[in-house]
Amino acid sequence: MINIQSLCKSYGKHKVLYNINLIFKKGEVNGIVGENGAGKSTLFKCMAGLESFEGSIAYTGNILKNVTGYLPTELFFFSKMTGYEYLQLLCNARDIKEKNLYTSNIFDLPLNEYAENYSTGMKKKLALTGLLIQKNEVFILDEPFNGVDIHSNIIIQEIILKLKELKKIVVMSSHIFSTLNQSCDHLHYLKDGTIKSSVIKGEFELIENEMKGSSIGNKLVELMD
Amino acid sequence: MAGYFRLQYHRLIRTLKDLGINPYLGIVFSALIFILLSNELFRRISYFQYIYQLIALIVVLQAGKVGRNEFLKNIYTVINYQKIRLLENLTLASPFVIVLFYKGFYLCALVTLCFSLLVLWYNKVGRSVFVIPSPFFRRPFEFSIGFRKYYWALILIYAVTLIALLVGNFNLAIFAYVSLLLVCMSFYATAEPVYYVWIHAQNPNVFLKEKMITAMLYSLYISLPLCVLLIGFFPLHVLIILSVTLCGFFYVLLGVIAKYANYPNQTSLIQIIAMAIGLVFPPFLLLLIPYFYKKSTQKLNAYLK
Repeated sequence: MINIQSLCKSYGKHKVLYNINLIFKKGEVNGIVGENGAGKSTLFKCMAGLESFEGSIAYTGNILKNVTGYLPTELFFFSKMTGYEYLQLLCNARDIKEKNLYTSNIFDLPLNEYAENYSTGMKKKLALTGLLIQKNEVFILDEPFNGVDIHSNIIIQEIILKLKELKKIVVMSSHIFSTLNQSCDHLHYLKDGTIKSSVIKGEFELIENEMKGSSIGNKLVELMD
Repeated sequence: MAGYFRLQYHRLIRTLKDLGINPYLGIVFSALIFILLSNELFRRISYFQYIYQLIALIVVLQAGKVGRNEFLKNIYTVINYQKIRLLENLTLASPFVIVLFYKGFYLCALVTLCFSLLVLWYNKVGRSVFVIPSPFFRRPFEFSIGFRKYYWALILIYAVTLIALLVGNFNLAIFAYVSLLLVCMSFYATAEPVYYVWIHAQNPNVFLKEKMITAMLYSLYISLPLCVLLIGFFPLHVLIILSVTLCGFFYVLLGVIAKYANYPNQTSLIQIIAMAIGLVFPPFLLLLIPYFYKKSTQKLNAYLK
């Protein structure tokens, strides 16, 4: 279980997250939604240990960062590095002795080609494959469905459900409510750096309605005029 | 279009400020160092004008990187894009052309100028579908990437060494050998994004030790054939060759740990100066390496547990 208590994060005087209290249990999928800039990615980085913060994040078991697989929104791949070498790097990083990484290639990626030449969706699939090979206990997935095709979208949803079955902790963000409906057990609405509401499966529509912002009205006409 | 070059100027100023240098002094000093270094290399190395031309071409080719060219093509009209590329290439080539002209190598200056114009239409630098096989795939990433980026330099160094061995020029052979280890050191020149450090389930000490072992092992793979050849051809100089080998491996170690001494930022200017002193005066490395190791573990503590 991950227990986040009174988490606050600021960049100088700018407060990004304020008094976040959340509990993520094993075998549950938690979704975090919010407008752009609400603080979702910052919260994920704090959980992963990539950002310092005030407050506490407690995890029962190992050191959290060493058993966490984090899929960032913006992926970075080194130039002149093949997909196979990327997976090898992730295995080495966790001291996993995977003999044949080709058998772990669930998305049928061209592992002998440079990862930098992959399409957006293929890059996401490669990163996700890396997290799965690492046999993590916690999965933080920031926009896992961004840029992937319909078939891969279905596979990712299947993976998330499988992780749930395997009693992993999954925390994810998405702007697509249909995917959240199918994958998540709990949904948390992050607005202006705080958790505005948390609901269980079946009540996600409440947050969806809450999130529907005002239209841009005449602004577009004025801009294009 | 003027706005584009104004923006590049501002970016340059910001980069120098980030390095902790007064930008205007930095520009003047860079120009001075370029002139002095060029002069010194022309004085010391025979036929340096050809190497100088090659350096100029490598510098000009940097403007042909595929990502930035796609961006420029996307936002500018065809004519303005070509004007920008033309001005960029001429700006990058001009310092080299001026020096070559000043040194009296008129033909070389003209060839360099023509080259900079010819490569105007080559804007695919950095993206290749062809995968160069790397013998270092078991322990990515510095050596596998470095090998693919600089394989041409390794071939060149090996070729120069073989020529030096055949003509019995020990100094040239040992210079090439040191260059080889400096190329290995350069594989560690750029700090990776935090994510690639964070993924490791190791504490900073274990992380650094693994990096150092990999660097030593792969440097040995690359340099061992040359070392054996050198000893074979110049058995009387075996002590010098072994001393240079030891020194070269210390350079590589320095490269590994210096990368993280100011992490996640790139190595600071003062650290670069200290490294330069260490390269010129190797005994200083005995102080510098433990110091950088300590700094690196402190910096990595934020990301590794």
